Amino acid sequence: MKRALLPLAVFVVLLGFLAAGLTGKPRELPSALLDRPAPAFSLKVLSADPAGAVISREDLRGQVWVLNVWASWCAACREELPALMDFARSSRVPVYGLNYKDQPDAALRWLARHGNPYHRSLRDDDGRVGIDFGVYGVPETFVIDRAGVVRFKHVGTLTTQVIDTQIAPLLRQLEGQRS
Amino acid sequence: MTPPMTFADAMARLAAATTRAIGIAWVRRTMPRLVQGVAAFGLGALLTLHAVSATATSAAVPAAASGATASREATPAATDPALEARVLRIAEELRCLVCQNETIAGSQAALAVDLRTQIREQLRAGRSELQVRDFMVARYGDFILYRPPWQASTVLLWLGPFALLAVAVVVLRLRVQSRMRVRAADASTAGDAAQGTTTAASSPEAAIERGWALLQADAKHAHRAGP
Repeated sequence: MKRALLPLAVFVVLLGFLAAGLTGKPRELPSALLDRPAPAFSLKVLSADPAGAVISREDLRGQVWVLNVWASWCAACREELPALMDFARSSRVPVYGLNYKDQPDAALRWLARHGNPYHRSLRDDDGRVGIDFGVYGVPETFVIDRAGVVRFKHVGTLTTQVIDTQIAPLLRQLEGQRS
Repeated sequence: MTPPMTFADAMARLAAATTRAIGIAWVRRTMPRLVQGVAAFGLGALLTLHAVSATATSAAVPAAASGATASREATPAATDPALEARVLRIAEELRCLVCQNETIAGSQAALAVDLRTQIREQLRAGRSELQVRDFMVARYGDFILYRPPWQASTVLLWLGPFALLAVAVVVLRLRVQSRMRVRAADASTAGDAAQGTTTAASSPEAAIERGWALLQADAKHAHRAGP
């Protein structure tokens, strides 16, 4: 009887390991950037005007801001847009877009057609700033605090649930640190 | 005359015979039927789920990313083969974040192309291979390394197999030793019984048993003392 139970016990342990392996989410990697300073950048603002303004990391220091990586070729960005619009409308925190590896005219057309939740969109034409931010799957969303430190990262489509349960409480906390 | 057996036939027969002889017999002996059924079902379900989740995740995300920049091709093929060899050597050790089972060297995802360009440029600018690797880890974390670094959280990963092997060796040793003790004890009691005819049982079975034990003990003795 005892001999019979040993392989069964081994099997159950193995089963446990395999089952635990199934619940993991290989797509959601921990960001190496979390709680580190946001990478430096200096990017053109997306606009029809060819001599557009340039925004750098230093320009945004001193305020809490949200960075949303998007592109006109990204289907999931279209999907998350309603939630992002709602959030941008109701939040005091500005949402900046990082227009990742896109054509400016295609991006502008996309915004005009579907809606523009962004305070400004920054043009990352060759994806270098995206790499500095550790972007590997558009859309991605970051929260950066007053000191310029990345405090939150979400990979994939934003949902109202993610915004309500994770981003909004964090923003309240970060905003509250002023007083 | 029977037609000659093909190699495949022979292998199939061998496999069938082996599983029948070892696997099935062992399972039948050690597990009750109900447990066998549940175990087989569980294993099957798990394997299926694994396969499904693997194909689902690999199919879902990268389509957008890879289709995106097809218009903007990678940098023109490098002209310096030595540099390109170094780029490949680094890229082969890095995991593509988009197609997670491919290396950055092997993947055609847009991000992998960009990262190869990054590696090439940084090497050209005179940075060392270690610096390039650190650049990648700073952005994408240890996950990008196919060879995980040696640190507190990976000790189990690196040493686990050796620990398991050590446990297996110890268990094997203990079992062999205990079995040898049992055999030695059997042989000696059998020998005693055979010598003391006063305790001999009268049944023929017992007599055969004793004779057999005596023979075995003898054989062992002869073997040990042998040439």
